[in-house]
Amino acid sequence: MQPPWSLPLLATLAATSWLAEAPANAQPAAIGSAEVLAGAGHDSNMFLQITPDLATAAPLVSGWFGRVAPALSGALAWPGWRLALSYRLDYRGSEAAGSMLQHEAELSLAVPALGRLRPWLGVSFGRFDAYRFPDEGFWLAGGNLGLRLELASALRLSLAYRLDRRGATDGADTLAPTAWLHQVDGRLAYRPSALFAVEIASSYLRMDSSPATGRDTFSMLRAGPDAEMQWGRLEARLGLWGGHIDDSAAGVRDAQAGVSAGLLARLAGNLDGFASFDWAVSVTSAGLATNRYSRHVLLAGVLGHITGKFTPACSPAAELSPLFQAGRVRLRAHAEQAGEVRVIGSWDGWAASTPLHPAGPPGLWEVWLDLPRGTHRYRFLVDGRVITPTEDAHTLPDDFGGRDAVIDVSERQGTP
Amino acid sequence: MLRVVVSLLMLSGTALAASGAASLPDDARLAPVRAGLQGRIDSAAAAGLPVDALVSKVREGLAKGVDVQRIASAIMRLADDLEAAQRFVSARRSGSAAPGVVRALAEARMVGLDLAMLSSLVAADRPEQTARRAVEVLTDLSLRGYPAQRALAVVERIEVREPAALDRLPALLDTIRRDQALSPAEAADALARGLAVADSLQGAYRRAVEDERRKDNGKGSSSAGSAADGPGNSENAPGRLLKVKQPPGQAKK
Repeated sequence: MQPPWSLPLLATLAATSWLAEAPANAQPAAIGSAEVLAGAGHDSNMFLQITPDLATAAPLVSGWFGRVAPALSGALAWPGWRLALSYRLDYRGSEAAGSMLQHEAELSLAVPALGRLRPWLGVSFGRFDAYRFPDEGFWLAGGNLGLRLELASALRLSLAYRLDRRGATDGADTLAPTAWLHQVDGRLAYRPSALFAVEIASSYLRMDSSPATGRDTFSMLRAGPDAEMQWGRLEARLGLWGGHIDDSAAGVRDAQAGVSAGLLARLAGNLDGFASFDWAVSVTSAGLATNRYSRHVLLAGVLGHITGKFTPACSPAAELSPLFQAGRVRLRAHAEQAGEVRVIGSWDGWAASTPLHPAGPPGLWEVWLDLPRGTHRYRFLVDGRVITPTEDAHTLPDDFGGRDAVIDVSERQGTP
Repeated sequence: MLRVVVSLLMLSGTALAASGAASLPDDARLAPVRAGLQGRIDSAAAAGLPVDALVSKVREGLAKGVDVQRIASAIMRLADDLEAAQRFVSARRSGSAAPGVVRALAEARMVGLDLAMLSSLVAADRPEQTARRAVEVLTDLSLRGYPAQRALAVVERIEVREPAALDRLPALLDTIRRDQALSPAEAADALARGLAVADSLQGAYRRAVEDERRKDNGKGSSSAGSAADGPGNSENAPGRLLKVKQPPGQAKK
């Protein structure tokens, strides 16, 4: 069922990523974060988020609810790469629907950019349980693939494809125990400034299930404009969409429209407040049991978050990276069988060269310098020969067609 | 009168200092281009340009073993850029020629930045040292691949609010790029949004990292940190397409 082009595409991405852009920062880093959302709201149809209720006697489940959603994530960032593992638990409790619990783990990998193209891919696993309505439960396992293309610094296109295998957690009481879900999302964003953006977003979703009575296909297409703006500590977002659904088993074809609005206030360094409202309505109602279907979700609450970071000093890249200590900078070079290694740099107008000394391990040379604050360029001279910085060094082009190693010296090194 | 005398003494002192710093390195490799280079340096000194930038560039080329014709070509271009930068500064800042700012602007021009875009950074009310550093940082960011307009928005804010933090800006933006797998433009935007909220560069960095993480670990799949990313958006609510649908007429249990 997986599209035949997806595997070759993945392989191509993996292979060509080795040709990607030069690293911005050679040091690897581990980043961990935790987040907790707590809020309350009202949902007019807690189970049927996408489709109107089919031609069944199923009642709408509507009511106020409380929601708590803690999330943990950890990531390893290497120049151009980011491997992240995240876990989110989402609990909703209400008088009308009882307890609902969703948890999902995802492993994602962002690979180095290929020019203006930035790919990522991931796999996810999860489960949803509605304890009062056990036949609404499902599990999921799937993969996704995304591309971000920077057409210009203010114009960005993102595309994502997701493939999920979903199945009922209580297979004995349903005629369709599993389903394949394909989803394609596209988003064209124009961001004239960092604080304002308008977008055209679109989404196509198709779910194929295989009930015992025959094949059942559901598809949905949505598109519409979004806008977001930030004023100081307040962010606002407004989206409109129109779309169409087609449910082969139920014989329902329907046009839908909706609006989505959200506010987010930065209350403190690690605490945000938010409120959001989503409303969807059936336009044509063809084939529906009820004349008009609509659904709204209102939610408000707070979001607490914290992030920590660790940069290992003993990584292979760190051995040659500049080290800041007690106001001094250590520069290191690797030159096997060299008789002399020196460094020249912009800190003294390239006037003098300073010798490096053997640092212990064979071929490793180092020097400690007192450098003024600022950005400095430098090169190593190995036995009088100018050495182009190695690939793991941060470099910038000079005015002579070469590249210099670059070091940023600030009054508070070691951060972030 | 006294003011005029003092000004003349200062000007002559500047010219003397300039001419003193204007001697080319005593290096035999320069012989084929020495006369031309010295002439250009002398004319630049006479115009009150900071010629130490030219001499430093010659030393840099020699130290790297660059062909002297290529060095000469770079010096001529730099001298032209210094002149343009001095005119630009003179039109915007009264008093001294601010040689550090002129030199920084010339280097910005050499990497292709439009001087008109840098007006705000060298406005008359900015201290010379701060203005020079702001221009240097923007030049550095441009060389690192950050779109000039996006980077300018960040540098302007830091220059006004926390000038001492300008030195940290390039490394910080590179860190955001690496940690969040972002493009240079995305990283600059993320930090600009953080600066709109936080009181310091460090606070803005933390905010930028948290917001980007909420955009799904480098996928950049949705807009920044807004309510639409998570809380309350029905698209993300539990139960999305959860239902394995039943045929018409089959009531739920």
